[in-house]
Amino acid sequence: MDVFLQQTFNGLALGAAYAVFAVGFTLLFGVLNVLNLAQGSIFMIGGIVGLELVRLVDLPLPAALVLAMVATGALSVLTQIAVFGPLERRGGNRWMGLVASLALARLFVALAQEIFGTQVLRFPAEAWMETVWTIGNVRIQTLQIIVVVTALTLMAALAVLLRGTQTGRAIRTMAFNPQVAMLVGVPVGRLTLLVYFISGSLAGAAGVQLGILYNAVSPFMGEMILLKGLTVLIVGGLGHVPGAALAGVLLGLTEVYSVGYLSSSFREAIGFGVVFAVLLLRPTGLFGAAVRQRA
Amino acid sequence: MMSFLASYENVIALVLIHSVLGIGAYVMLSVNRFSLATGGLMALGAYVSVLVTINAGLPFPVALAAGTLVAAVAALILGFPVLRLEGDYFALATLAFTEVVRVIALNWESVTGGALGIVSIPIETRMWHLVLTLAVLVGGVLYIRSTFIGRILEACRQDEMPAQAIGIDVARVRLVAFVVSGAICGLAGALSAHYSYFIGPSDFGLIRSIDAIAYAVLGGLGNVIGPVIGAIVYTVLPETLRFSAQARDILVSLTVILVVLFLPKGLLSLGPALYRGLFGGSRGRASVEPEAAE
Amino acid sequence: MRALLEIRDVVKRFQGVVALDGVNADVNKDTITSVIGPNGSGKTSLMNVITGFYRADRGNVRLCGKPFTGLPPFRIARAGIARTFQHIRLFDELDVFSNVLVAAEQRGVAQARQRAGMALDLVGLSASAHQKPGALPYGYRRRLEIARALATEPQLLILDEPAAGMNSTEKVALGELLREIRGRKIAVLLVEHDMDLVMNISDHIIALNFGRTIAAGRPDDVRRNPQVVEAYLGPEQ
Repeated sequence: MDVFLQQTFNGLALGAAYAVFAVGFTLLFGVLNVLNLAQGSIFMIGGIVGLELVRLVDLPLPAALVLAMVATGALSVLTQIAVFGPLERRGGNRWMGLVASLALARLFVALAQEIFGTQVLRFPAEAWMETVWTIGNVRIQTLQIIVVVTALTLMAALAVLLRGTQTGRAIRTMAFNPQVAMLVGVPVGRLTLLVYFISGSLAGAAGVQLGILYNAVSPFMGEMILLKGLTVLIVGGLGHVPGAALAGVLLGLTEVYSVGYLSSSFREAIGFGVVFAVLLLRPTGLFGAAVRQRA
Repeated sequence: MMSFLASYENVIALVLIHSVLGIGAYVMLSVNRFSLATGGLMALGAYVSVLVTINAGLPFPVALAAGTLVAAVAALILGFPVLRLEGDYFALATLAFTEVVRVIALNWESVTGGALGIVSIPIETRMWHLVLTLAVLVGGVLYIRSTFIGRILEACRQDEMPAQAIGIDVARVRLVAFVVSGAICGLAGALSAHYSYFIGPSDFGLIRSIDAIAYAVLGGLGNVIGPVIGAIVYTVLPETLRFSAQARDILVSLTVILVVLFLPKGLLSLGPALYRGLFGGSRGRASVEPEAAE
Repeated sequence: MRALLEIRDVVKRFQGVVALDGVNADVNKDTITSVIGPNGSGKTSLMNVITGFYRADRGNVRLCGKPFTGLPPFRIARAGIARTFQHIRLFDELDVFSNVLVAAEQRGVAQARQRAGMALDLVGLSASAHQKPGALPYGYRRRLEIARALATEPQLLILDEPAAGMNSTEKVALGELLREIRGRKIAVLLVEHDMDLVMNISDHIIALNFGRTIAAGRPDDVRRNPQVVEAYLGPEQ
């Protein structure tokens, strides 16, 4: 029972980070209908920037996290201005955007390797990295608490934004029907940039979170999270924000539970098997259709 | 001249193999489907062909045929459920397929050698095999596209609804294209495996699929020559500049982004543009402008 | 005499909105039949059900007595029903001749070029055979779409608002063309808003409202039908 509780908590911490990534990823699809396959590399940049700010500049973790989020948010906005925006305006094949995002991903990974090297980087030994709390027979690391609290804060902030503010309502209108949104005076251009910013900064936050959980970041961590993120997105329903969060947590739990029984790469195979099953049986995901209404 | 060719033999072989892969990707893009299954199908062709040569001891042509056939059949089986899916979902399903194949290759050690892969593969592939394959492919595709089949493909790509309305079974066309694409990728895998004496799971991941699409997009999708041009540029350009591996990646990805943004019809479209620039417009169909339009 | 096309009790719903609420109608051989009705009455939905792009929730459609509801669009096309679309959909990267040729080839490659040529002749576009559709004026783009449909040698030609965007000269020419098509033993079913055109060329009119047939018959009868008048002009005050 204790083992189960321990695993559950570990899974929740991991799932919290996955949820943050997944939400950023699915938000972009749900609101703007963009499948941004560079999201994994943005996550990776967030992780590296966050860690280096702590390691080299000696910033306290919260500051490093915020700065990393700002950096990745800005990077995401840059990709919209330079690449996705012009592509959208030109029209044409949808998968040109996929090609561009894949090329961007590769570009960012290569740049990261050039700037930060190809090795795995680790956080310096700090108090919050080492302390552990024990409740009964369950060990809870401070860093896990940090990750969970961060995730909850970000999710709450996003929920407040989307549900409780006028900006949020405008964003939801855009998601529902972009033409209608324009007609009723929603500043679509500016809000598009905002959504890219949010999506990028959530990816960056997740990068820092997973960096904390594993005490490792490297230029290669993006590919794996992208694949996991896609799994989560498909299971949760492309564009369905709460579905993505829930599926992210589920993924974290599943991964941790199955460690004991399966080698890591068979776990991956199961993950993709699930993707297949969902795509074939219920492509809109387990948590219902996020059907984009179009005029 | 011959010694020049000999010293660059590797690069030329790579270009040829990449061209074949690019054509595999092009076949699917020309029916308007974004497939990331290239890596997985190539892996099937590679591993099966190697098992035929090494384990079964059968001759090279049999291995090639086996690799091609298995990949084609895999595409057929995969195609039925997956081609029903709409664009994004189809891309993701093919991505999942490639990853599943890679993971199986990584773990099924008894058959695939696991992460260490398979070594001591007999080097059977000669340059003329590759050249012949590419020539036959290019010739074949050019011929087929000039027939009524070519028009069917264009109709499916340009607008699916009227294509259906004139009696074209678009789903079946896509399935056939997928099987053909699978055969091409499987053959490329088999040829490639017998060119280098080692294969491993990391040779066939998502990167393969992405690169194949990049060759096609870079060169231009208007013509089967496009992927060949794209493969040449993509493979040779980094080689000519002896930068670090990262710098090459940066260069190549920037090129793809720039082409996608500014040359959506690929490098091939530079040709007519240059021609018009040099010799001035006003010849043939290209310049029928709407005096007739309202 | 059996009708060429029999539509019986067709129902189609979209997430709570009832587009077709039990439509009954017949289309006879050698006729021009028009479907009229206010916006939202279900006209295009009905065309989409007939041609297989929508699947009816209930009811069936028969061609020469054989039911074909539930078949995919390409099978229905091969069975002899051709169509044009509300927003003209041409293969813009193929030239005019190829647009029609690809359709003709679906009937058989052997004589396809001749058939394509004849279809282009009928609509008067032979001279433009090597142009791209984008270079044609709007009225001719519509004619090209019709030629493409005709090249499949259908028994029934369905036209969705063919006169939209045409000026009066073009509409008269369109009427002539439709009569010519009828003369070649191809039944015509059109959805149209232009009442002059409809009254002028139709042998038979079907009026829809709220997804149901409210009147069917000769133009003069339908025009005077009180339900039809009410549907268009609102209830009597």
